[in-house]
Amino acid sequence: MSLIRGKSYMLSKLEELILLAVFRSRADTTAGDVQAALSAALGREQQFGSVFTSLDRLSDKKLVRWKKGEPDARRGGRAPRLYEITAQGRTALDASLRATQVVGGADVDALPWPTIPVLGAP
Amino acid sequence: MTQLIEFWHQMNQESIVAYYLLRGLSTVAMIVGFIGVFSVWRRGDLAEATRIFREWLRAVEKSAERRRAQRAPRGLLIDLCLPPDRADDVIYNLLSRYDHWVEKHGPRWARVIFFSQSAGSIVTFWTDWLMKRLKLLKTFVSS
Repeated sequence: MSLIRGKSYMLSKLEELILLAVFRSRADTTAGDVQAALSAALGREQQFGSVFTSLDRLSDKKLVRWKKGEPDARRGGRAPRLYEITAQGRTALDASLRATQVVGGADVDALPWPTIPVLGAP
Repeated sequence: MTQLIEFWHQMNQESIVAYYLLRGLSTVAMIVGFIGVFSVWRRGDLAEATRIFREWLRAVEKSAERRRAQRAPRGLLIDLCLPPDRADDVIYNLLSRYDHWVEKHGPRWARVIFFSQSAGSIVTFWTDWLMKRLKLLKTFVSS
């Protein structure tokens, strides 16, 4: 669980994986890139519907932001949404990955990340 | 409707001629096939007429299937069932993965995957929309 501006968000495993995929792809990630990364990682075709919904929820929580891309003639002249992770998203991802390791029995002091940061706190 | 008009604008003169030529040829082939079957049936050889009719149907079906497999789906279902902004994103992403599915599973399965993913995206979108409204309603009722 991470604290962002006083609100607590528990990332689901899918949200965590999606955030990680968006983070690793850097800027201008499409939902298709995320779905491809998840499908390759999980070894089965990931449902696009769940990826879109999770990206919407992450966007509502301001953990990712998106902008409209350029229309592509090869893709039916459609314009995609290009996603990018925000600073809050990065913090939430760090906290979530750290929590997984701590619960898994890792030594808290040996972990490279600082203690769970609280954005917006004095 | 706008997309249909844009489609017609995008089509050049040559492709319109080719389109009507193909339509004309297929109509002629259908008429010739029908006359062939009818004349054999008139001669009283019902089994032969049935055989010719079946083969003709199979040929038409195979040709239609080949034509369908050659082009990627247009995503009409998505355009009809999702808001325009979301539909654009969904179709773009499904088409970007379509080539990969064709390469991995073949054109027939790629179409099946495309439609199942389309249906899944539509159902998930509206379920999420409904759940958000219900949650909001629950907040009002409980307060």
